[in-house]
Amino acid sequence: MDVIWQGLKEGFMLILSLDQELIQVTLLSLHVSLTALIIAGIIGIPAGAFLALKNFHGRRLILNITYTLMGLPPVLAGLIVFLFLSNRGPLGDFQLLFTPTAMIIAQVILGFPLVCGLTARAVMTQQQEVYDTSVMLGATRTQAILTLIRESRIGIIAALTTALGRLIAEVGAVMMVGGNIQGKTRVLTTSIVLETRMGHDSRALGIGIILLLLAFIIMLIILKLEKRSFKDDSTIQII
Amino acid sequence: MTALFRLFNVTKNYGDRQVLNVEHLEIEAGHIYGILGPNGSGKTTLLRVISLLTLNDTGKLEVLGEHIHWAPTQLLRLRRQMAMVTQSSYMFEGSVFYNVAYGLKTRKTPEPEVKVKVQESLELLGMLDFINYPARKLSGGEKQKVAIARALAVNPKVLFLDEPTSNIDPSSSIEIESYIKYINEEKATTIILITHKLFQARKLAKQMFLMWDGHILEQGPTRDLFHDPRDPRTRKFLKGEY
Amino acid sequence: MLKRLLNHKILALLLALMLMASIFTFTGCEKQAAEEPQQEQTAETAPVPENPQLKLATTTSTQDSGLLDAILPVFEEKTGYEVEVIAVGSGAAMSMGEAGDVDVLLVHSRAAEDQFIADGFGVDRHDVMYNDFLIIGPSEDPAGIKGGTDAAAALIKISETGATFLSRGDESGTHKKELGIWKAGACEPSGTWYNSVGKGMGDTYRMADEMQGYTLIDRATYLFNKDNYSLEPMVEGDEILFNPYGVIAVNPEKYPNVNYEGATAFIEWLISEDTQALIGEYGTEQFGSPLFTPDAN
Repeated sequence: MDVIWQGLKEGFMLILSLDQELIQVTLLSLHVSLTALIIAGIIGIPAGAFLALKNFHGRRLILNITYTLMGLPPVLAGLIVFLFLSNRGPLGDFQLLFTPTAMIIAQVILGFPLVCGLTARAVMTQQQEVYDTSVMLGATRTQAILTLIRESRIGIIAALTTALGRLIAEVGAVMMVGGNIQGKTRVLTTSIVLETRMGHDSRALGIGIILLLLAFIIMLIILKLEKRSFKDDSTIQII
Repeated sequence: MTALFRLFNVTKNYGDRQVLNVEHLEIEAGHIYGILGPNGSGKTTLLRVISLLTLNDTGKLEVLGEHIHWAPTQLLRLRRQMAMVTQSSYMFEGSVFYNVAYGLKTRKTPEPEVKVKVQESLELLGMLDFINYPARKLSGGEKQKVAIARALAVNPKVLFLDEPTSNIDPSSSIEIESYIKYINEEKATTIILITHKLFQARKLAKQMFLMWDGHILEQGPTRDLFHDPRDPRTRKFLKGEY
Repeated sequence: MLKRLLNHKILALLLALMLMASIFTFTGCEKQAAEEPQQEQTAETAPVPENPQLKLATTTSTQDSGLLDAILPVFEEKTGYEVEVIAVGSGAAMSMGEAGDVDVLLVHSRAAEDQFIADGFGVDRHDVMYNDFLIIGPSEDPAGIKGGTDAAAALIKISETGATFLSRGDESGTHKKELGIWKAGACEPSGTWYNSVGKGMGDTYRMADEMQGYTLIDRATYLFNKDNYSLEPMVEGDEILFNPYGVIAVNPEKYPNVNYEGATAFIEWLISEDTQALIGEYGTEQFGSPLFTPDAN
């Protein structure tokens, strides 16, 4: 119990002290995970919509592979990226290993299937009537498809928040391809691992609290944005 | 008058079941046409085929004077002259304004014109007060009125109505019926109305089609059909519902 | 119709999963059954300790070098103890000892070890063995330190040339040793060339190889992995690179729950002549030279 109390205390002390290194680590965490999320979103949302709407040979298979990859272990994603970016790997010449770029690449690989798969599901649950209503009002095919995606917003935003949660809390991939280098590629999660390894349990817990707070704030912002676009969003009344 | 729709031997099957088999059908411009028939007789399928939402399996189909070959450009051109309201209309996530402006925006109508037309349409349906209201929070009757305003905003030649009042209360129903009549008379919009309600068909439609098992069983002026049905099944259907 | 089909599919999938699970549990049982007679056999030859679970916290180097895998089975067979190895940095190992979460420590961080005992957390400390550290680096040797015997001078050269250097940065014995050498050279390392990676020795070695940088490494880990990587020895043999390992039992007076009996048995076995000989031989076969030098006298 002592360790936990001390961790809570130390966590708040850490936040209050505005420790220079910790701020830098937090910012890098945000930078890596948000960039990865944006990239995963930019390619994942259209890809998911395509899988949901286009009937082609092998679609089922690709969907199933995507769903499977939604559970891709971060360490495995990290290992694959490591092997590609390593000096012995095919992309070694770019010298990207142990840089934030490598971490972003690994996290895009983790986030993409999640965004793509959940977007596909959200769009697939839309009814035929959405498309029909849209084309009968004069929409072109492209306009109707964009409307379908727009009407799936709630599901897509859920996909993005899920992906962000996974990325910001993930340690396996960023540890492997980032290398946890102090001042360069150290992020909140790898800091926690390191502090734990060094036996600084309460400091590790403190950083964990910062990580949780960060996730909480991001979720609040996303929910706020979501609310803004859904003024009429109502909850189910359970009486 | 030219025929808006012309069908020859048009069929549609879902698996083994034939849901539509129309040997010959012509619908001319200008009137309100009623399509009657029991559940599963193929009314909605017929409507979906002539509104170009459902591909027919066999036969020849002409819409607005054009032979239909289902090319996207043709579909777009023709659909932009029609509009549809179904029994529980889908409302897009967003305001009433967003919904009514939707069709105009797909046509890249300039913003000021969009505003004017949306207001006009809503005013006609007595829904102007709801312009900024979230469309999904409207009542069933209000939704249907917005759906009609949404359809009218694009100034269609043909308006398809698939049981537009079957899910709403009688007074809203009567209100909507009067709008339908008004639209047809004042805007010269051809209206094709599927309905379960015999009195509604009788009140609104000039011409009637009675469908049975995917076929057009009987057609003609509404008066004749109600007073002197030729087919015994028509007689039975009209009686059963009374 | 589709829904029903789907339901069937889900049902079939569930059944298949259950079947698989039952097969696995079955083989699990069989395995247990097969293992039991063996356990009885060892129980006949070895005395059965009252509490056979012994938790050993040790540095990553003993694990990564393969030494523990080579010698622990001998101990387990002889005494009937089962050793759970927790391989972490020396710092974390000692934290675990301070919390009474482990029974015995095998670490290499002499000053911290003495403090640990002075604070009353540990008893019965014995020297076990030593190995040495060396500085390794890329064959191009941008800092020009190859062949030197003065570790501190070499590190200063690295800092002056700004050549890439990787530090464990995890408060491990190796990290403390590195900091000690910087201190001996009166130099405070900082800059983009100095990479504090916060990882175990094996990972740091791998990263150093990828980044073609210098690092301080214990000989055991170096010899164990050197065939996989391209870095070469630069500086070795300096007295400051000497690396003694000690074994410490966690103080039973402080934590009555620790397996002190087991810890004592382990320490006695570790410093016995036979085991010391075993440690002295380990590595000769595989690497051509021993990894550790026993020194329990």
